[in-house]
Amino acid sequence: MYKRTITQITDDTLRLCRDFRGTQRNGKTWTWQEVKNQVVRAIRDMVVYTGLLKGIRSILVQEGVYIYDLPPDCIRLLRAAVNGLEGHVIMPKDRAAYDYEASVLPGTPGAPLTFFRHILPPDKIGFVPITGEDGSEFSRDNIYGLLRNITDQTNVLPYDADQALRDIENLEMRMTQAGDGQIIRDLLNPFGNIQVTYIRMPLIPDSPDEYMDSDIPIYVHKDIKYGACLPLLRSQLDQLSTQKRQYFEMKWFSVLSGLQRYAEHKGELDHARPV
Amino acid sequence: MRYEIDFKLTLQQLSSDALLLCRDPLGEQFTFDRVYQAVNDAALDMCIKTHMIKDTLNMELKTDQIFYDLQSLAESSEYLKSYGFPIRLTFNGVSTPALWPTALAEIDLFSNSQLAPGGVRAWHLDSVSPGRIAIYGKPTTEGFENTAFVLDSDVGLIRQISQDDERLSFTPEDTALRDIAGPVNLVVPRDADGNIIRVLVGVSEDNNLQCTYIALPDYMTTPTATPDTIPAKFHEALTYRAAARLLEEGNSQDFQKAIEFNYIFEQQTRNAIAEIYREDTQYDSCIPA
Repeated sequence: MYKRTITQITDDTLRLCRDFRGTQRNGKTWTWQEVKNQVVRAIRDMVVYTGLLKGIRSILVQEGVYIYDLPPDCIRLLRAAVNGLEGHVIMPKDRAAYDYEASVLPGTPGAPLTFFRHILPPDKIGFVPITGEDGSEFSRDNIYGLLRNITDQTNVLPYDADQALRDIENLEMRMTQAGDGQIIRDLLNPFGNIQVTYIRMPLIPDSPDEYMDSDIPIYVHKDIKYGACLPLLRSQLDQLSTQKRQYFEMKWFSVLSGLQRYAEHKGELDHARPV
Repeated sequence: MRYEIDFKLTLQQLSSDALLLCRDPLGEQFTFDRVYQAVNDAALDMCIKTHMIKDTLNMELKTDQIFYDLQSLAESSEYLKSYGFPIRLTFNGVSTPALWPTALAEIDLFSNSQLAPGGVRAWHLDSVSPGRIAIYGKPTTEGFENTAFVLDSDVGLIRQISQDDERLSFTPEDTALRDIAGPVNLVVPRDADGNIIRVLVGVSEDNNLQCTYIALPDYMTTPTATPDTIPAKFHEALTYRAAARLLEEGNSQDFQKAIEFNYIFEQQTRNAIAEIYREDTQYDSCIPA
């Protein structure tokens, strides 16, 4: 099929480098694990370069707190909004702008209007003004596994714990990427909270015989070997390796450019882009 | 008189031709499994670049829901082709104009909520991962369903349709159902070349969205399979791409051949684009890939 496992891509990469000696076997120049690491790196680079994979999460807002953690799988923040889909986007504003205006943190408590990041570590985000009240919260009984219990303040929604919860009317639901069962595992009421849209890290399975992140389009699986082989070929001194590296680099960036156009799709504005 | 079907090449023929180009007619260097895969990859390459293979799916709208998983929808149906990426979205079948592609950044510029009232009017991809789609404008009502229609079997011909307590049967049972008359506009996809209706989807186009997407060609597994609906005149190009994919792994001479074969394939692909398979218009530039 068009889908490729990590093992298949690793084997294909070893073939391109003329160092293939059998599935999951070390080559003469590179070990299988070294090449597999390059495959994983190529997948990560593809996502970082193209911004292909998006994540949407709600950050639970707490009264009197203005600096929050970004989701751990966040590569680059794209957008922040308040009150989920019904709310409005929060625009970035440099802290320096506030400093020039002689405004002081934490300011008058209220609903966040702007966010800033440049004076914070990469995994943090700050909101101005400081949040005036807690956001609505639903808790879950475990990070992994089925949803078995939902609470909101003092209200509890019980249901048959043996049945996976798949839908609650009028609530924004998200599914985790893990597993094919599409079972809802994570639930947070967006109301009163900050919703962030970001480019996320790809999920790489523990077992190389599994398929990679299901959000990576199937039609590019076959081309990941071109990205994976580049560092390996770059380390070689012979002319053929140099020629191959130059040619595969061209092919790889052609693939990435196509994906980037998809990921940054501008619709009717697309033809107005300068390049 | 010869018909186009005579020129169609099977997977077996394409693979043999590719092996000839690789100077390995007996398959001593490349196993047939690998050549089959190279031919399939070549077909995929051509279809993604030229947008040759398309399919349409019906998305059932849910109130206030703006994110939809098209890939799962396509995967869950054995009658739809594998999902690539969307190119067009319409509402209510053909009775309303198509929705225009936009970007979330553009919506944000106007400071609109993503659940702005007024009905579904645009779609965007820049806030979702591939396989999903986001619509702009709040679906205020659920899409229509026709769940009263059921099939008596998951596979095979439709032989019986029941609606509430009334059973609609037709004879003879060996005759395939080809049409349903009535006020309800039912989506009836057809399978196989015989145009025989095999499944009845219980979701009407009314109040739902229809997405036309670039699909992946059917994966060829049997030696007698042909490359989906790729026109026969482009089949030869597939052998060059397949051979190039194999020769890329070889020595210096092989590699030079791979570059040459890739060039031939790219030329053929450009020819296909220049024909009717992908129009180079302003609308085409709005297509995501």
